[in-house]
Amino acid sequence: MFERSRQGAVDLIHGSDPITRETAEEFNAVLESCLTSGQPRIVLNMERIPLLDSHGLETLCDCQQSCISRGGCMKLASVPSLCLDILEATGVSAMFEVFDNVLMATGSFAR
Amino acid sequence: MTESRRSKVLIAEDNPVMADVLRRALQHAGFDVQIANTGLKAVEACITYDFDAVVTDYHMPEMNGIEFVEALRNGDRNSTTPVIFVSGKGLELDSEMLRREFGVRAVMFKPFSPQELIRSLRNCLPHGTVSVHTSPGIT
Amino acid sequence: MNSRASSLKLTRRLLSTYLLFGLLSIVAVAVGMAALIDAASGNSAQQSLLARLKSAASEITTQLESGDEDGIQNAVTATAEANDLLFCAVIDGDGVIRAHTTKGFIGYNSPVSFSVAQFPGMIERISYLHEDGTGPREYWIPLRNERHSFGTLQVSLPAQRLSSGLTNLLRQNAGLALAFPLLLLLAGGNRLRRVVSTSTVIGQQLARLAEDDSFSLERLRPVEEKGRESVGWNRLVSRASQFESFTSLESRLSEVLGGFRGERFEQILQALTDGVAVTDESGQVTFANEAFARLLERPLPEIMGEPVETIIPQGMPGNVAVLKEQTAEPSRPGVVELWKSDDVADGLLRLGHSPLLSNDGQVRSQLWSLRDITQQKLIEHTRDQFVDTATHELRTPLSTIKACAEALELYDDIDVETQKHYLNTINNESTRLGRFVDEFLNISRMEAGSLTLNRHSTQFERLLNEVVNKSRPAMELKQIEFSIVVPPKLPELNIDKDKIAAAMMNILGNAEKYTPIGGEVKLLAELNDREVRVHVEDTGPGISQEELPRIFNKFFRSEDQRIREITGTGLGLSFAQEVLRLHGGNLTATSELNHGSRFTMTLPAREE
Repeated sequence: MFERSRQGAVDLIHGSDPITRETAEEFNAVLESCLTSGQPRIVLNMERIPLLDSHGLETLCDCQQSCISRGGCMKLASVPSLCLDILEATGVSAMFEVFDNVLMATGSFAR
Repeated sequence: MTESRRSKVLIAEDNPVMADVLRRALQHAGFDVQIANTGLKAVEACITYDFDAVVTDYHMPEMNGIEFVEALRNGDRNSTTPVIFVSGKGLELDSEMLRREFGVRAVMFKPFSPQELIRSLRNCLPHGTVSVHTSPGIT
Repeated sequence: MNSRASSLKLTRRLLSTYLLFGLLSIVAVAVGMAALIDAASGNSAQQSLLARLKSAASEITTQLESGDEDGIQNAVTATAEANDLLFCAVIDGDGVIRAHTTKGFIGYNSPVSFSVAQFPGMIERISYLHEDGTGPREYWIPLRNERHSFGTLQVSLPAQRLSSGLTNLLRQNAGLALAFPLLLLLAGGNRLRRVVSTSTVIGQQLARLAEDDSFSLERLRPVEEKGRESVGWNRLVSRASQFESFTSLESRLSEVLGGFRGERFEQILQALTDGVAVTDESGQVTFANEAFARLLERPLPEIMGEPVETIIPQGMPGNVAVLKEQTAEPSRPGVVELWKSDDVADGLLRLGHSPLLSNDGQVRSQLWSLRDITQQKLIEHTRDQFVDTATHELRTPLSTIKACAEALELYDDIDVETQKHYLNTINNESTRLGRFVDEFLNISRMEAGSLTLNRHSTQFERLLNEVVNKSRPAMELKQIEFSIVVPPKLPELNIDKDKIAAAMMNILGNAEKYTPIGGEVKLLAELNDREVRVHVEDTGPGISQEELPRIFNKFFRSEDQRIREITGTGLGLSFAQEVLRLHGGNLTATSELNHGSRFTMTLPAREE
C-alpha cells in the first residue's frame, strides 16, 4: 500500500510494504500520479519500507530520471538502514538526496 | 534533616519581573539567589562569587546565554558549576550541542514551571548539599 | 573539361548546321545561276540561229537572182543540216515551193501564205504547240534584196531543249531558282534557331539569375523538351524549385516555432537575468551566458573552458566545501548557496545544477543555473528575526504569568504583600501580552491588505486622555517626566477610535521604552483649520540621519545597541503610519542623535 499526500508544493509518498516485483507496479502508479503537471517535487518517506529489490530500484531510478527531465526532483527521507545499504551497495544512492526526516526533505525544496 | 548551607544559585535573566518571581520562588525553596540581568553582569558575578548552580536565559543584552556559558567554562571560577539553560523552544538551540559542548545539565523551555526548575536544580547539586526548606507542603 | 567539350559540341553542331545550309544555298545559287546562264545562253543561241538563217536567206536570195535552181536546193539542204532543221523550204512570191528539204514537195503550193515578203527585215515566227506544250517552231525569212523580193524562206526547228529536263524547268522558273536558295537559307536559319532556342531560353534565365541575386529559384521556367539539354534543365528547375519552397517552409516553420535555433536561441539565453551554463564530463564550462559571468564578476571569455569548481570559488568564496560535495555527485540535481562574505548584503547567490541526460541515458553534461538571492535572503532574515522577536515577546509575559500563578497556587506561606505583587504582575503581563497580540494581529491584517477602518464620531480629547492614562504607569515606573499640553477645544473626529488609539499607544510606548530612567516625554496637541496635530517628544537615544528615512519600514529595527537591547518588533511605527494614512493623515519624525526624537501625528480636522 502506497499513499500520496500533499504538503504545500511537495508530494509525499509513504508506504509500509517492500518495493519489490509484486508491489513495484502499484508503487509506479503512485509515482506516475505525481508527474502529471508542473515540476515534480517528491519526497518518499521510507520509514516503514523494509525492503527494496531490483525492480524497486529500477522504478526509483526511472522515476528520478523522469523528474529530472521535467525540471524536478525526488528525495528520500527516513531511510531504514537495510534500504540504505541496498541503495549504497547498488550505487543508486548517488542519484538521491537522503534526509533524516520528512520535514527536512520537504524543507530542502524551498532552497 | 541535615543542616547544611544553602545552595547558592545565580539567575541570569534580563526580564526583571521574571527574575523577581524566580528569585522569590527559589528563595522560598531554600536557595540563596543572586540575579544578573545581563550576560556581562553574570560573568562578573561568576568571577566574584562561587555558585553551586547557574540558571541562565538565552535572550540577554550585551552577551547572550550561550556566550555567557562559554565564558564561564573557559574561566577559572565556576567553570564546572552545573548550568541550567532556559529559553523559548525552537530558537536555534541545540540541546544536544549544549549538553555536549558546555556540560549543560538541563534545558528548559519557556513557559516553564518554577517547580520544575527547582527539581532540576536539586538534581544537579552534588549530594550532601541539601537545601533547607522551612515549611512543609513544598514538594 | 566536360563542359568545354559539351559547349564545343554545341558550337560544332551550330557550325555544321550553319555550314550545311550555307553550302546548300551556295549550291542552290550556283544552280540558279547556271540555269539563268543557260536560259540566257539559250536566248543567245537563239539569237545566233536567226543570224545564220538570215545569212542563209541572203545567200539563197542571190541564187534566186541568178536563177540557179540546184544552187538553191543545195543551199536549202545545207542550211537544214547546219541548223538541225526539221525542214527548210523556199517559197516564191506566187506561193510555189521552189526548194524543199523534202524534194517531193517542190512545185507544189505552200499551204501557208506568207505576208512577210512585203515587209523587209521582218521575220515571223510561229510556234506550234502540241499537247505537251512543246512543238516545232517555224521561222519565215523574206528572201529579198533592194531590187526584188523573191519569196520566203521557211524553216522549221524542233522544240527547244537544254542539256536536261531539269534545266529546262529551271530556265522556265528562273525566278524560282533564285528564290530557292533564299528559302533554304531561311529554312536553315529557322532550323538553327530551333537548335539554339533551347540554349537561348536556358541562357536567358541564367543571365537573369546572374544579374538579380534575389531571383527566386522558383521562378525558373522549364523548357520544351527537345533534347538532352532541355530534359536536364527541366530536372534542374524542378529540383531547384522544390528546394526553394522547402527552404522557405523551413524558415517559416522556425519563425513560427519561435526561432528555436541558432541566433534566436542565443539571443534568448543572453537576455536572461539568471545565469545559465553547461559543463562537460570533465567539469569544464562549454557554454555560459552573460549573466552567469556577471554574477561571478568575471569576464565571459575567462570562464569558457575553465572547470566550474575553480571559477566559482574565485568569485564567491563562501561554501566551497558544499560546492565540492555537489560537483562530486553529478547524477542528481542539487542546490548550493554561495556568498561573497559573512555579510549577506554583499551578495548571496543560489547555484542550482541538474544533469543533462543524453539520448543513451548517460550523464554527459551538467546544466548550471545561477541566481542572485541577496534581497530575498535579507527579507527572509528580517522575517526570521521578526518571528524570533515575536515569539520571545509572547513567551516572556507568559512565563512570568505562569511563574506567578504557580507560586500563588503552591505556596501557602506567601505574605499578602508578595501575593499582591504576584497578582499585579500577572495583570500587567497579561495586558502586555494582549497588547502585543493586538499589534501582531494588526500587522498581519496590514500585511494582507485587509486593514479596514470602522469610523465613528469620536471625541478626540477623550481619546487622548485615555491613551495618556494608559501609558502613564509605565512612565512613572521609569520615573519619566510625562507632560501633556492639549488645547482647550479639540473637535470631534470621524475616526476608527481603536486603531488611532493603538497607533498612539505605539508612539507613546516607544517614547517610554527608549527613554532612559529619569528622562522626559512631552505630548503636545495642536489644532488649526485643516488638521489636528499631536507631537510626542522624548529624550531618548535619538535616531541617526541615515536611519531616519527607514524607521517606518516594516520590521526595521535600529542598529543602535541602545535600541537593540530593548525588545521590539519593528512593526509599531509601520502600523501607526499606515493607520494615520488610511485616515488621510500622516506620521512623521524628526530626531537628533543622542538628544531625542519628535514624532508628529496628523489627522484631518474635517471629513475628507
